[in-house]
Amino acid sequence: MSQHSTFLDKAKERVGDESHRKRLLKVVDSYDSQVRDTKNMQFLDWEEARTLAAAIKDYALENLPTLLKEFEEKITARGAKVLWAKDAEEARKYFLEIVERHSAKLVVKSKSMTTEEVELNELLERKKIEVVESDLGEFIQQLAHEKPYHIVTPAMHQTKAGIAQIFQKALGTPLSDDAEELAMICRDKLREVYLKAEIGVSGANFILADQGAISITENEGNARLTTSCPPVHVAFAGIEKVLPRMSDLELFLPLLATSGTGQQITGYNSIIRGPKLPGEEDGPEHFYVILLDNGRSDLFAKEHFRQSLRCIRCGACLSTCPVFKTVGGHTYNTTYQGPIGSVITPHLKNFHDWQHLSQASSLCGACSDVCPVHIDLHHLLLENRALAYEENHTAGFWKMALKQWAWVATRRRAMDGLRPLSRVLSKMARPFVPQGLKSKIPNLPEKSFSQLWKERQQ
Amino acid sequence: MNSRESILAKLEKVCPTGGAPKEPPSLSGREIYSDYPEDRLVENFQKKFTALRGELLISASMEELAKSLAELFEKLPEGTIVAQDLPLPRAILQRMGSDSRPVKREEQWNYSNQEFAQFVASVTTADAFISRTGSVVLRSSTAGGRRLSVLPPVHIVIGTTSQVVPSHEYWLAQICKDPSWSFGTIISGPSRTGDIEKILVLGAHGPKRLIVCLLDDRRA
Repeated sequence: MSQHSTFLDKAKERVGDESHRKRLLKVVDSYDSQVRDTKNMQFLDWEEARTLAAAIKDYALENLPTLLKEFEEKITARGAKVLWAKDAEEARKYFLEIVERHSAKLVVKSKSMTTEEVELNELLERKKIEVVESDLGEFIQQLAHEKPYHIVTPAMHQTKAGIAQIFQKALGTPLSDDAEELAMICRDKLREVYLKAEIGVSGANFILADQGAISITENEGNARLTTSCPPVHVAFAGIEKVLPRMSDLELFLPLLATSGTGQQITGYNSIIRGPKLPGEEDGPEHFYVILLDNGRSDLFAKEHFRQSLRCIRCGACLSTCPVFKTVGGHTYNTTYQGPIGSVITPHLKNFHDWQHLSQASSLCGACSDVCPVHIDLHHLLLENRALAYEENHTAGFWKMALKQWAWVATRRRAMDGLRPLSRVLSKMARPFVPQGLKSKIPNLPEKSFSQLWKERQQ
Repeated sequence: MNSRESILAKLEKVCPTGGAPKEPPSLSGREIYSDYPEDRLVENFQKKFTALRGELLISASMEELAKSLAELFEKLPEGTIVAQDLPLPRAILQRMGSDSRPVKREEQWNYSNQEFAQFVASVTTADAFISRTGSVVLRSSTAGGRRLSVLPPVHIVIGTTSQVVPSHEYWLAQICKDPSWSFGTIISGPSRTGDIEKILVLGAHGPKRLIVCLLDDRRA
């Protein structure tokens, strides 16, 4: 089955699932009000802040090769090893070499979408190396054998009761209706993992070129433990994550926290410049940074789309998108869901297989409005649609239907001619409408707007 | 051509390197934040830090601070409390009564992870305290490495009110110049999560309690 049909099938299922939608909207509502309050409380002028952030990211992209080399040179001088991966396969190969070099049997991971992109967990499971997600949301998803639902809130769709059942089934823990008790199950389970793991894996929210450092944002402390206890630390980072200076964090940390979770600043924002230095008490003896291209340099070469590499993965465009809020995160079947995922996935993967995602938008522009680095997301979705049309990725049937519709819609008489067919038309629509909503398909009203207008003019 | 070269070549084809580099857009001199504290730094820190569920003790004298700390130690569960042996914590811990709970003071440690996990609380210093966001900032070089401030369930930070600075820029500018650290972090409250139905739970993986003890040296 094609990705397009999978999307349509899953979307149909989700649209009719009212309890799913209720749960989702409850979480999104609370997120919305937190974001609004924090923006008002913290920023003098949000618009100016995000314009400045976009300008700094644009500078970083314009100077990307220079800044990446600067980062590499400085962090290498302090004992880290930088590995450049052209694609997911090469990133996996590097990681397996590290696993073998350090004879690792247990890997602890903090949240990283880049490792999702290279499907690191699947690789390690195949190789019989134990890997444990430490972020609570990711931990829940791992035990549930599900992919993250949302790039920032991976278990956004799960309820307390559902989580208790997942834990009971996987860990044998008693059922509980208390969020704190459930969180403590994860804490207790992970403690021993931090202490025993030979490798800690993290992502990187930012690459800080002038200092040769990475920055990691989190709330739980799991990333700190992951990068402190095991003797080896491996950080995965997309090549676009660069900021020119460490001092840019003064803007970017509050910006990311506000858009990501509605916090003024997240619980822990750590800066790592290398492995344990001589004279330091502790820290990993070995530190590797895997820089991942995986299609980013192609996106970089397309002038129109380069701005999508400004993305700081805050997830705001997902949570505001009416399509995301209706079909849910899993329907996309991508690492990055929502508007940003629909823009970049066709370019990072196979354009033909994924271009349908650009249709998963009402083009309302809410995503562009909330983006903290001013990515013009809905116009980029239109660019993707145009590209799909130009390169003949759209189905012939669809092109034909659109042409016919254009002919009808631009002729008043032809439109009026469709009126007697109202019942037939709503029957024809039935197969495309989700279960549960079929009985709600309306018939066309007795009179069209143009008829009513004419009558009232008289 | 290896991957490093081929990736860089692709990027350089689009953005040629060389020529006079422009300066990146600057943050300095721009007003971004509406809650930037111009004065009353300590009061603002107190407000923000306690809103994040941090616990704050401010005392005008070392004796008073030592007394509050001793009371706090009494209420901690059984086990070892470990502290960095630096001048300020030492001075305060020495002023605790002889009947107060013993504290293991160390300049350097090489405990295993397993040994480390037994400690019930840690006492460290910090680089600074950030008034605008109510954060504690520390580095591996100032807080006894990486594990001491995150592995024990209670983290106690000892500092002075003169260490409270308006915003993160002061700390970021200061640490850029210092080569002696591999890890630094901005801590804003105890460890937390909202991953289950957006319900706030403290102590997800890191410390369940974050306690800051400030010696008020403003009038000194």
